[in-house]
Amino acid sequence: MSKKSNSAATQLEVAWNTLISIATEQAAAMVNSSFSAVLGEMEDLSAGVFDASGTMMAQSVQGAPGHLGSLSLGVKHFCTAFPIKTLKPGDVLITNDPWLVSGHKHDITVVTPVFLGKTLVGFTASNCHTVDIGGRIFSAAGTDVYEEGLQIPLLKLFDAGKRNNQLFTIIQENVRSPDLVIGDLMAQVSANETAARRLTEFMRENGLKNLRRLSLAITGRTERFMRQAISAVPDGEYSDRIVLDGFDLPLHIEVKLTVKGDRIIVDYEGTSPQVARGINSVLNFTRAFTYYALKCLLAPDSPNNDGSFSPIEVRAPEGSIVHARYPAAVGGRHLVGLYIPFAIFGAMKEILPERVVADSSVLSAVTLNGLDNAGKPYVFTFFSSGGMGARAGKHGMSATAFPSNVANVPIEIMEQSIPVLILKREIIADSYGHGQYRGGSGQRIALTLRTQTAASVSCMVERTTSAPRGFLGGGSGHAARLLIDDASIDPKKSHVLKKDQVLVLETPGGGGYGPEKGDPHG
Amino acid sequence: MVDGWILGVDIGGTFTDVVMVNSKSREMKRFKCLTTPDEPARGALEGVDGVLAEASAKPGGISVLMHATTLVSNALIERKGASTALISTKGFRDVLSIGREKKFDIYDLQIERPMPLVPDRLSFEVSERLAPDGSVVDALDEQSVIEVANAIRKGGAEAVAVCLLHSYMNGAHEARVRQLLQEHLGGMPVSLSSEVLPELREYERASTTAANAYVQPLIAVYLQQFVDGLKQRGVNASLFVMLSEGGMAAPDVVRRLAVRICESGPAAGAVTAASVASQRKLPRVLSFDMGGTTAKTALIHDGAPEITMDFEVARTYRFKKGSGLPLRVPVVDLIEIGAGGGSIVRIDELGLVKVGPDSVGADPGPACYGHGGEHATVTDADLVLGYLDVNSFLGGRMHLDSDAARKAIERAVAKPLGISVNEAALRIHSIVNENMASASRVQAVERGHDPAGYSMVGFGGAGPVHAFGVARCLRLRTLIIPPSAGLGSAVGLLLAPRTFRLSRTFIGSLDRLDWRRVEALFAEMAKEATVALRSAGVANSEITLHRTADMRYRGQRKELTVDLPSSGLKVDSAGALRKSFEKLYAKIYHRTHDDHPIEALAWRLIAKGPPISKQTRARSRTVRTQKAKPQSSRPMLFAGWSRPRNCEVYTRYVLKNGYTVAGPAVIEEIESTTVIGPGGKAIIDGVGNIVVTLSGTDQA
Repeated sequence: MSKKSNSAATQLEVAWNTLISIATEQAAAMVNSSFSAVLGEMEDLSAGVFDASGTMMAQSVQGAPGHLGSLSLGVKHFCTAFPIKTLKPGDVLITNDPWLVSGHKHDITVVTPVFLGKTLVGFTASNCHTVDIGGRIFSAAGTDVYEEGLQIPLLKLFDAGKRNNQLFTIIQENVRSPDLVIGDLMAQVSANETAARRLTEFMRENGLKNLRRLSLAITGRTERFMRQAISAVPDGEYSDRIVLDGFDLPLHIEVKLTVKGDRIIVDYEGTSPQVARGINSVLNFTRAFTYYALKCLLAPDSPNNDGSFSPIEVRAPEGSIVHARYPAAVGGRHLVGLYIPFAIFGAMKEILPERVVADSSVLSAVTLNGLDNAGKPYVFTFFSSGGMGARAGKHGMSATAFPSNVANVPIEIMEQSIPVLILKREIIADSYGHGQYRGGSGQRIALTLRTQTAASVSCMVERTTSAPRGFLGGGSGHAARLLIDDASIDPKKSHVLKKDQVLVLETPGGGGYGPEKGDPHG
Repeated sequence: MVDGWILGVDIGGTFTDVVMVNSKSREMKRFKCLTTPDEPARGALEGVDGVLAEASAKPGGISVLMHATTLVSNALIERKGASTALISTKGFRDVLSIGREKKFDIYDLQIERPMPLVPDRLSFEVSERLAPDGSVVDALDEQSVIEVANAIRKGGAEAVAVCLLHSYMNGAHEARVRQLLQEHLGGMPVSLSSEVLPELREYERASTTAANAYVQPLIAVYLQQFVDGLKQRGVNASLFVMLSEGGMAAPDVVRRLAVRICESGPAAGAVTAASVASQRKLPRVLSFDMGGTTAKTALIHDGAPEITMDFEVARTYRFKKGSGLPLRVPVVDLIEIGAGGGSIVRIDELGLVKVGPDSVGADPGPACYGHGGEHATVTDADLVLGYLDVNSFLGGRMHLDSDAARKAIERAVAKPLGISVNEAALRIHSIVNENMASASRVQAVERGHDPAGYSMVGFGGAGPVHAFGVARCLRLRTLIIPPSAGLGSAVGLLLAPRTFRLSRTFIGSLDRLDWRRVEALFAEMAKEATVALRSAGVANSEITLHRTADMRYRGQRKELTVDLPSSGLKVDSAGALRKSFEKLYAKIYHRTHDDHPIEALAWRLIAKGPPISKQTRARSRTVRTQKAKPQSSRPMLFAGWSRPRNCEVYTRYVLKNGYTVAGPAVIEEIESTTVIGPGGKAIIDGVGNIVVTLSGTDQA
């Protein structure tokens, strides 16, 4: 920044705040013009502002952790596939390739090149969970990625302002709710455009011809801060192994963090090989949750941008559940990916005991699919969280989404939407892990149908065998359970729910922290 | 119209402001005294005595008293309300502790969700169940209510909230629960969700109903003390209280729906801005109210503040969206930013200058107050820049210490960054302005508006000092500082219309709605609103009713509020409603979805009566202009200048209609100082507003 200039607008502080507010405006515009509950109610989305080289300078304040890191990685693939000279004002780019961005086809990424006059100066990008992408219903039961719906390669959705009608038609013909899918997609397009306009306006006002120096200043400061934070951690190797339910057999994630001066290498060597069901995580998604976990531990208050990531190197064996090889099934990749923060916290718990969170629940999803009393088909996914783990000095929070950040659906909205009767939604007392600080409690949801006909229930429920672990002497939380009429059912498959049968989902309790008072082993 | 004095009393966090206007002569008197948090009625009565003495008027001469108070929001923030029990449908007693499951900060592992107002031991269930259409699935088990009543008595609760599933469609079970509770618990206050907020979404409805029950006993006691105190003094005025939506209601309504006065004071501020907007016929106004600890902005369209039902109170992280208790009541759509005169300035972990969100409060206050404050604050920077004067702050009642201000800024910013104190002060001033500008820009955009076309109305103690800079960041062309800007909220009380808003949920596709039911709901709401307004002294003939509906494309999250005809909705109306909805939709989102069904969710009625104190017909047109003469000058520093230059200082009280002032300059009055930056041109209009025109390209 020019030293002699007093002008507020060229101050780094102000410029930085402006970029964050542009990304936040972008996310707000997207939510406001969205069509689906997954965007509007659950806000499963992210937005960011990038420089011309694809470096993320700022992201929206709200967003899904798995999306945010992935978006930053994903935009670089767009830059490679579309060199600057091939891009024109009015272009809008798209993909949902799981390997390029956030790990499953339900996430659609839209990237809009930003031009100042004729010069490309940056990108605005967004990533949203779409309602449907064809193939199987939202499920972990796929055996390869082809079953999981339509794949949109890196393409131009708009070419110099002209709508790619063929691509729109292909998408429309391949999804179950084309109105919602296209509506949400257009929300992304217009939100990116709003942000792009604000970005060029900001540059003109401040006489900026490009974003290079500003980007270096922002990422440089953030990186220095991250490096300082890493330096404060004693050098050494820290490792953990965490067991997950898997699809039919238990799997595990091995992690080893090597802290060396101001760098961290996170290595997943020894993790289970990829499986033939849709729970595999692609490397991008693994990296996103690795960065997320380390940022939570080391620099929760600093703004997030590419500078936070550069001191962190992620290594993962190709062909494992944390670096799945094409064409593995990946639809329920969060059932692996959401464990990554706990593997990292587990590895760091001895060295950073005051910062970690004990194991927490992993987001459960249940999709109901049937005919209402008028014979009309319905499909509805509801998400539910259990207890968050305990922390040093604080109990864990009950029924709280972590490490995802997806909201629940109100009972009254669900009953207005589909013919079910919810019998209870209650905290499960004593489901938490005991300890000096106890974990958060899980919750129990019971429902029955209000139709004469049966419905199908597609489940993505984790931690039914691998209960959330306590840390540093704390006890484990209770495992999740899924039952029809009091009999356990497979938590990853589809089932038939008949009239008058009761479906019960019990989400897990969070792990405890520290030995419980009066515990002879403590 | 009323005779005699009309009084506005605004109890704020630190000060109680009283403004009194004579309905005949338009003479205005002001009084300010300290708020008395232990017994707020005492401070309010002291204010009434004070202003009467100021005017040498008799208590009997007051005909109307209008009132705003922070009592409700303070009780919720400080958790000083009644011990409250909640009764839910069997299976759902944990509705408050489960909430919406989402975190308000994704990186902070140490966050806490706000504690529910109702403790676990006072959360109860009764056996009953309604279907989504309001029909009865399981009848109310009265024995279960009686058992709960006994448990409530044993638990020592002082108030009860009842929130049963789908009661927004059918309030019969809740009403019967209240009857049974009153039979068994005597006069214990009971809040029903079907009365407080008859709308979909059980968590938000239960949270709102619990908050109402929680503050109800407190407000009842306070109002009684205030009314008794007024009577003792011989004040026989009618009393009205400002609702959070900017309307006025009689004490009876407030006793029943106490939670609806939560944002009473800030709403009065927005009403001030709205009245300036009407006076000057400005279609789009940004209301900018900056005080000692926070700044509040609101959008005013066609002379009325925008209203929202999405509101939170008692945030655990004060300025973080999602960290508070949701209150779904009509509230002026305000955003609050942690930026005030007392906001603390420091260098953060990244080596950047950060202003707020925490502040020093009234004691010890900014360093320049000389009360031992060590922190550098926004006010200290404003003093160093020459915008404030050591001798004329608060009309000279408070001397400011300029050395203390410079030292604090030197320590907090200049030295660590290796820059001069002047440079540091400029930075602080522009960062806080940019923070406020960014927040209001997001506010406008989130609501589908472009901030660029707005005019700003600035008020509050620090508002006129910063309004010019914020307006410039937002590239606004016009800024208006109304008279007595430093007492903005109390003035607003005198100008507020008497309004009352109601809503009912009834969901259906436009092409298949039972329109007779819709009309019946509106008739029911009209009856309730008319009763409320008549108790506020509005004659039947003065009441206007405005009807709207929340509509959306089916499956969409966000509803749009569509205006409805004033009567006679029937099957044939669907086509016209569809058109109105699509017109609005296209305006905001640039496209429509032609074959998609449209559904209505909530039906809303706004009943409106005239303000008690009609403004004098706005003579806002200016007469022949002439350049004003400055009273003095002093060195000031503005962005882009390498050193301070001598700038002119004016006293507001001598500026008359048509006088002009060119920036850089300041205009001083007792409660505040208006800064006009370089390139700004001010003119005084016919009602005493300072109207500033900002030119295009200068820097903030």
